[in-house]
Amino acid sequence: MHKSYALLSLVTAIAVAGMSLGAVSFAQTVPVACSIASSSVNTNQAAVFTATGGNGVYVWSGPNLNITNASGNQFSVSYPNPGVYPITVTSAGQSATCSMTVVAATPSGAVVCSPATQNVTLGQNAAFAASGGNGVYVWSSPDLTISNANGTGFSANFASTGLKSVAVSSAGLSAVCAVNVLAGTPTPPVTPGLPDTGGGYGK
Amino acid sequence: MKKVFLVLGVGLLTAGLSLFLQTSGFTVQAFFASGQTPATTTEVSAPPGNGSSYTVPGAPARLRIPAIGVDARVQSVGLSWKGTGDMGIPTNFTDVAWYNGGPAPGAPGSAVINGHLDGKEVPQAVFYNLGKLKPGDLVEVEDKKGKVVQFRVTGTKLYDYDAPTAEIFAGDASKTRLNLITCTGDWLKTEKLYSKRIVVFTELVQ
Repeated sequence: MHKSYALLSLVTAIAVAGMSLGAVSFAQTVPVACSIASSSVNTNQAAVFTATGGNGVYVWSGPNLNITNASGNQFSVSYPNPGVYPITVTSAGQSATCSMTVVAATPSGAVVCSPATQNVTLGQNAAFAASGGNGVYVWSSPDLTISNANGTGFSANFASTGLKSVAVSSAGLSAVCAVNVLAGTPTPPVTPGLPDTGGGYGK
Repeated sequence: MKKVFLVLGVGLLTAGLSLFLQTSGFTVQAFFASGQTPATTTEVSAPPGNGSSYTVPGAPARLRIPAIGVDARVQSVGLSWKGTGDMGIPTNFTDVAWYNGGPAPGAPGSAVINGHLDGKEVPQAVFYNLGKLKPGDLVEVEDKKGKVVQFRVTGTKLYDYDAPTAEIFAGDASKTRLNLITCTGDWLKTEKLYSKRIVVFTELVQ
């Protein structure tokens, strides 16, 4: 009787041990894998990575990252500069790498011409600046002959008095600045005096 | 007398007909009575002005003048802390100073940068050799984003230390200039300053 119990116990123990070993062996053969929701994101936009496999405990790493708490199966990161960044996840001694491509964010929103209105005296230059749109601008005005129309700033010298307009367009959108060109002699600007840039060495 | 009335009447009729036709949208061509050549008129409209765009430069960070070995950090200054109304100066003898009340180098108008000639205990400061520059010499300014704009020396001019400065700070706004200033001349012991300023005028290399 005792022998039977002993034998049964031995068989059970061996079976449990075998199952256990089998389970461990099975867990170790599942490779860790990494996936990314969207492989291309804009600058400063988060990309979400998901890990599978391994032993369920993950360590994430990537260039220029100071990661303090990243043991979960999901990981989120954003980069301020365009480029291709490898993100690596490690689990149970195995690792997998996903790459994220960061592209320059396209400015969105309306194009803006500033200042919206200004007064200048005939002969005086009017200056404008563009912002918004997609960063590529085209300046136009019915009152001007324009050279080099694609900068972010614009300088105009009108040949006659009256209300004038300057338009800037970008990405299919446009904005208009108004300029009132007044008759008269431009007021001389107040300018600083010459600087005192000498110490009189040896004098 | 009848002839006078006849001519007057024909004239009034012609004028009336002309006015009617013009206001009705017809084009009227006048003919010289003596000949057959039509008088042509041209509408005179206001001539167009000029406009040009440019890349808005950032605040300057470094000034390089290879011909005289200058590679200096650029400080941003307004008016002198002394309250004289003069342009401010750099706080040391190795940096230069950009006048932030005017355009940045690379924007239309006259940007101005100064540097010391010397100091009381410093024999040669950053602009000690500024007067050696010649027309055609290269001047480079790098802004805080790393963008570099280049200028060429067009000439130099001497001014009394208290001379008007409109042509230095507010010259032809259609040009893009960078004007460099330092001291020169005799040391005025009473005022404790140099009698002259040398200004090197440069223009943007397109």
